[in-house]
Amino acid sequence: MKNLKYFIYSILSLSVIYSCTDLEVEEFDSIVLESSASGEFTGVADPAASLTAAYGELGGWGDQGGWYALTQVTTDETLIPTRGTDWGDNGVFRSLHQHSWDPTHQWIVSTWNDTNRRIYSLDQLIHPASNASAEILAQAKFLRALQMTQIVDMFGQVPRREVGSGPSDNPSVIDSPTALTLILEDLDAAIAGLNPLSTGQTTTYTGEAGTNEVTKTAAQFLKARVLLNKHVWIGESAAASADMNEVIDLVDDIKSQGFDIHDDYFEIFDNSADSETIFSGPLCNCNRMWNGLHYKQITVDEQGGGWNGFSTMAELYDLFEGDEDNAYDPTDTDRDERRGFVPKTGDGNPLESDQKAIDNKARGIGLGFLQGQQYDNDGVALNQRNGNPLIYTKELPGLTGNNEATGIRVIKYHPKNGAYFGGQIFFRYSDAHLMKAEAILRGGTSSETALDLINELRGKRNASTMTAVTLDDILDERARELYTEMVRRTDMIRFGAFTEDWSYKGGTSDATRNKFPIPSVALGSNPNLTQNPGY
Amino acid sequence: MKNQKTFFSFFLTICIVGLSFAQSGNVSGTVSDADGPLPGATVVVKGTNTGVTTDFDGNFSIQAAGDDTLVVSYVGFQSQEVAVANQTNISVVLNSNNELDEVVLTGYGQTTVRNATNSVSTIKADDFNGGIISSPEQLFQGKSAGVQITSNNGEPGSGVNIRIRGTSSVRANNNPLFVVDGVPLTGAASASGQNDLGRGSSSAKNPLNFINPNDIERIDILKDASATAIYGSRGANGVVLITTKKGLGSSDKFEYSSSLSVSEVANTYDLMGRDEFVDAVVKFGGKASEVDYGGSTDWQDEIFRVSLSQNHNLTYSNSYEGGSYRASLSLDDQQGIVEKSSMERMSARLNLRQSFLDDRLTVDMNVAYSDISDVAPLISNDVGFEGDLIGAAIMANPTWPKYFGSQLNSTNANPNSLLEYYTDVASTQRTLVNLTGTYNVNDQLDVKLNVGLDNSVGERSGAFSKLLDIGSGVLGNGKGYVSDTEVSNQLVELTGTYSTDFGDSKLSALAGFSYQKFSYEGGSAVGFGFDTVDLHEMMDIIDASMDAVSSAIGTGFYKYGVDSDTSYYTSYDGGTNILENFTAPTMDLDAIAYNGYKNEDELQSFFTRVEYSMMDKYIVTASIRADGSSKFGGDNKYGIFPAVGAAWILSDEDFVPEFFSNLKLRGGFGVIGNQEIPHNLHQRRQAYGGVSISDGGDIEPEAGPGLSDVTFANPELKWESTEQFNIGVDFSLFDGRLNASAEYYNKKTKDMLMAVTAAQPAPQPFVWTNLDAVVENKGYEFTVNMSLMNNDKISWDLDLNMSFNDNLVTGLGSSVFDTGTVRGQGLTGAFAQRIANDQPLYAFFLRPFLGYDENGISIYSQDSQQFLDGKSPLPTSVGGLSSTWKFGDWDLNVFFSGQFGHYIYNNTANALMVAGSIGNGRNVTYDTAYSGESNLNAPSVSTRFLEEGDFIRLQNLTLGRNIALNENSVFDSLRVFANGQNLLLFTDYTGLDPEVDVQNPINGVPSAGLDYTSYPKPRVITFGINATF
Repeated sequence: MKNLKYFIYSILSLSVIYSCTDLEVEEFDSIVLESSASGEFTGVADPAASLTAAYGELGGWGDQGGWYALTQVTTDETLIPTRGTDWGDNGVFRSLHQHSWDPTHQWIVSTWNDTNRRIYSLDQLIHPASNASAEILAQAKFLRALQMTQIVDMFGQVPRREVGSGPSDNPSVIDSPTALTLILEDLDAAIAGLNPLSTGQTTTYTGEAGTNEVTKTAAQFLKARVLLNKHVWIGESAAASADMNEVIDLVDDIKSQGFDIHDDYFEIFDNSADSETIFSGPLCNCNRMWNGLHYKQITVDEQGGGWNGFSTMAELYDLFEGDEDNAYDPTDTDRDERRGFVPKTGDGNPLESDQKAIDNKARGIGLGFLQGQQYDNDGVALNQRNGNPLIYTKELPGLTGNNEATGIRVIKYHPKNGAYFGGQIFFRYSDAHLMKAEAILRGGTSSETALDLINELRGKRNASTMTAVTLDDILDERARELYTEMVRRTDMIRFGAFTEDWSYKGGTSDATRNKFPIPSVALGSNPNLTQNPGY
Repeated sequence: MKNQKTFFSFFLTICIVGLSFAQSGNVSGTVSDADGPLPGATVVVKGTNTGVTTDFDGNFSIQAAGDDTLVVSYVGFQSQEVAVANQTNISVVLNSNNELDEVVLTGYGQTTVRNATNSVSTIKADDFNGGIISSPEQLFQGKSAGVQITSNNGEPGSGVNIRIRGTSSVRANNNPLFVVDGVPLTGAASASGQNDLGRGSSSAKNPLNFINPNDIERIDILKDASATAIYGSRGANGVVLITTKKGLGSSDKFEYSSSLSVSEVANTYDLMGRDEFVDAVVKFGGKASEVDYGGSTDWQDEIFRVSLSQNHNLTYSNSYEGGSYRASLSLDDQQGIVEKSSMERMSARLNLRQSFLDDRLTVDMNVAYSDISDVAPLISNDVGFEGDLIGAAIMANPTWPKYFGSQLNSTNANPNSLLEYYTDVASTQRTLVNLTGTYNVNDQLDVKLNVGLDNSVGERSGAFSKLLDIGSGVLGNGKGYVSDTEVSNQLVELTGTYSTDFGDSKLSALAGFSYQKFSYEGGSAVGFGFDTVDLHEMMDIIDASMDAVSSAIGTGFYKYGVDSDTSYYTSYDGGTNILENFTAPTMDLDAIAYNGYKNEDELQSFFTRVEYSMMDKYIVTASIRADGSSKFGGDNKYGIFPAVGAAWILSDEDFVPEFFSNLKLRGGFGVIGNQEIPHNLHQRRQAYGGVSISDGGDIEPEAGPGLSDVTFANPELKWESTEQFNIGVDFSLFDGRLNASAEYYNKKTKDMLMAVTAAQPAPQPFVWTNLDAVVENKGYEFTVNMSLMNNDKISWDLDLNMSFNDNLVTGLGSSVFDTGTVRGQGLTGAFAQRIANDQPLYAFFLRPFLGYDENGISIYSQDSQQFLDGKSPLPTSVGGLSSTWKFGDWDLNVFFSGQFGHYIYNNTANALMVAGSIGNGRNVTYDTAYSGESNLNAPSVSTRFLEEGDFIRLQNLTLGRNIALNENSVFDSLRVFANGQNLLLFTDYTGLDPEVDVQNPINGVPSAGLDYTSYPKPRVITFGINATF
């Protein structure tokens, strides 16, 4: 037994030598945020770097799925039919198109998770313990308002977590009116704390560092959008005229900073200077550029080629004036510029016969709506992969069972700018211009009329002059001007058109579809949430 | 036994008394067995009539020359030859012939088969699988009941999954703990996986490849909680103890073995030839002129090959007074059956034992070093519809010409271009050293100090030439990566054993302390834009650029990006975090992005075990281990893992009939843990985001990454625990010619560590938590060993093992976890498996497929996924059957193994064997083209691609001959053999091989039972020779 004692002593002494470790290891590649003994939040490690991360998160709005798909594929602008083996994608696109999504839809889940997570990161940055500078705070508040607007618009209720709380604490939930109060407070703080773009300054948006930094202008634009939609989001039947007047004032102020309708429509989406772009994000347009084009439509540098998925429907195409033949003809003066064209071909190599076609040579790929026969760089008609001609058709056999050529393709950011062209525009002036016209029709007061404003825009776009304008006309004009710019869903809901029937939708949908469901995993993780009606 | 021994010693002593007393020899020594000195053993000088017997204390003394050999024998024990080698004192330990007296290893100690209370399988070198062996798991695949071993694919050195008694948890690593000569290894990869440069990434190779299979003496698999609980936190998936060969008992012996293997692909797809292909395209409305390029190529022939592999081992072992050693050197060159795939391994080992202080102190030193070079082709887990090399070879148009310059478009690559313009090489150096000192304080007490160091340094790099047209910005630029990995593991362990007898009872106690520190460090650089098209030069340029940038920045950096207009780095040096621009050095590439990491974890443990036996037939063991881990915070750092086991040797009771030469009932219960989760999830932490290069060649993010949260800290995180109950019976009949065991076990895993969706808003999408659910595995295991025939001329042994397992998840409520991403065209977001309540783990969740309508479009019973009566990829039974015949010099072993009751999701078929594929000009099998499916049909994830995975494989067949040698031969022994691996496969699975596991996790939840263009398994014939001299 004495031996045992020695043994135990020696074990213990060795234990003492090595148990100098309290099992708290040093961190080498991350910073431990020391929290005080009470578990109180002590601030982010570096506010400027947190703001950089928040800007980086705007890249999460890109791609073709997630938030982008929820805003586009649920509307009458975008259709992704299955083409042979392609684009079935476990039914994600079909259920959005047919308004048959459920609370487990992967992009509803990811949008809820990602957007709320971004809000929380900004909450941490804005928290007094982080000691962010006034400049950083103003930008962070704009970004938080931007993200929270998405949650209000899509889900109608906003979960809020106490900064610094742990996994076992359940977030509280606020309703849309309360959330809108927070959003407007943030935007007022941002407007007060940020500088406008200097008068007359135009910006180019190529995704370069710094171009996405927000300005007072961007905050004003977002506030106008929020006020325009406010009555819908808080469940009132009509807009308050005070809100509409503020929308008008905000747009007027934006215009006074030098923003205006840019004359050449498709120039807005390339990297030349324009007078429209108010806020753009560091996103590559790659996916949204390629997801509609055919495999044989490729870039000059041969680095990219189409994925042959996204297309549009007759509903959108038929909103435009003019001959259905999309082939470009410089002498054709009575067509809406915004519908775009397919470079014309014919005898010899007509692409070299006019400057515009040469500028857009880019492998024979047109702009706007691509319909009919498509051509390669030398003006030779393209074939599908199986050898049949590549003629994009307005009509489709349905949501499934399509070949490679059905459906009109839509393209705003053009491959001629490179396969990896960046700089996705979020806010631009023409949208603000149309918001002002709408605010006037919804009871706002201005020295200008809605009709004058609409015709000013239409004049620049080579469209005919209107003699009268109704709210429905505004919705259509917004579709013609802003198609595939991620506002259609919100617009359609505001005009009560989101539940209507369109091609292959399978009938009208219930008004409860104006909100997405709270994801099942979110309901499971937080008992304070209640499911939206209809799900 | 003891009586028998005394009787023999008495008898022999009388007989040889004169002789033994008359001679006072110049060589003396002691003969003993595991229990102590052996009186009456015979010691004879080899080749002479000179012999003595040992006295009552086991001592002997004999006249022998310095170059003589002594033969030591005793009834019931294996004879042993010992070279005198000029020694004057020789100690010999004889091993029992009786299986019940064989040693089985338990953690930190050993016992005998007879006394074991727990479930342990021992596989010795003689029973190992033969042929091409990359890693130790392959040595015992199919040999032990309840142990399911699945190699992920047929690549040389590929990863291996081992599931002991079912799958008990949902994390990346469900493999058991491996302990090599007392050093628990980390489960971490020793070199990184393949980086995704545009065609998917692949898993890391098996980190256990560093062990030379030829150095392994025995493998003990601890299966139940009463055995594994002594390893506490890491015992939940079972423990595999690997013991390497020592020099003990051999003298001045060289051993050389060599083998040559021929491998070929065991199975290929029955794809259409050029004319059939063109016809099929036309049938689906295509134009022959558009798809016919005039050639006729069998693309599978282009990428597969018959390969030659070789293995050489040279060993020298010797023992001398007070010590012994064994040194080995091995060269292994395994060439894969896919072009440009190989694993070359050089390994060296020195095992040394030396006694000091009158044999009271024994020091063991084991040093192993290995250097492995891997070459891998472009075969990945998660490539999209464009396919990796295997996918490309299936899809490639058979009318394309063969040569690699004929790249025709960016989405369907010419397989020869992929072979020519891509390579991936890895090199790993691993050193495992351990030093053990055992001090025999007195008869009752031993104290042992074990210090171990395991260090591996790996580099893996790959490159796409700019000549390759596969998108992702490769064409015209070229892309490559270099990843460095350093993993090290330090161990300090002190144990003591105390044993005593009193009355009918024996007591032995073990107590110990263990401290282990793991560190992981490394990083990965991606380079873009090269002038050169030489793949190795590209890798060298990335290496040189990494060095140049490091010296421009200084030390302490973790992430950086450099392109033509950007050069910044992020760092946390000295506790401060910075993002800084710097002046980039001149480099031979356009852009480089590097992301590094470094972290450490610690484990500190206290443990004890007591074994008590009464009258040699009632045996009880109890153990407890307290493990502390830096992976947990606050009050949850320590977990307590207790276990008890008991055995009752019924055959020693009078009421049990004599025909049971052994009958034992044993049972145990214990709690074991698991802590295999990512580093530090209990503290709130922030880090800079990653740096990458866009397909256009720009560093992203352009302005430098921001700082953001990397954890949703959960300070309440605690140990996952598995409770296991086990009851078994062992018996022997017909004088030990039939030995059998039957066992029942029940394992319940609770507080499962898992990342679940965080309640938003939160700093992260997921939070690690202890899930309030139970994973239950229960089943039966049967083992039968029979000696059917045993005489001078012929012997026949038959070994059979079979196990049955049932897996179920309960208590999960309404939470579900999807996994098993299905890849392929039009399958974005598709998955095949869902973990949910009242389903087995990884249960398949699919649309039920009913056939095609008149237009060839799929009909499903419903257009949403559903469970399929518990169909899962987990086998409900696994088994092995081994038969060995010996006739004279010849021996023949045949070994079958099988897995049953599980399903495989054939993602290869879902992605590639569909009518739409041929409709788009991609090759398929003839059956696919004429199945009645329309080329416009979208093949959704459905039961159409779910197949039964049952198989029986003739895994190993060995024919060997021990060549009789005359006395003048330079050799002491010589053996030649021929071995076949994977000679026959019986299965209904339509893919290449049902033994497959391609990892396609979702949100960190691993998948199981998916097959997607995996590296196929080879059929191998090996010829070899073993010689000692």
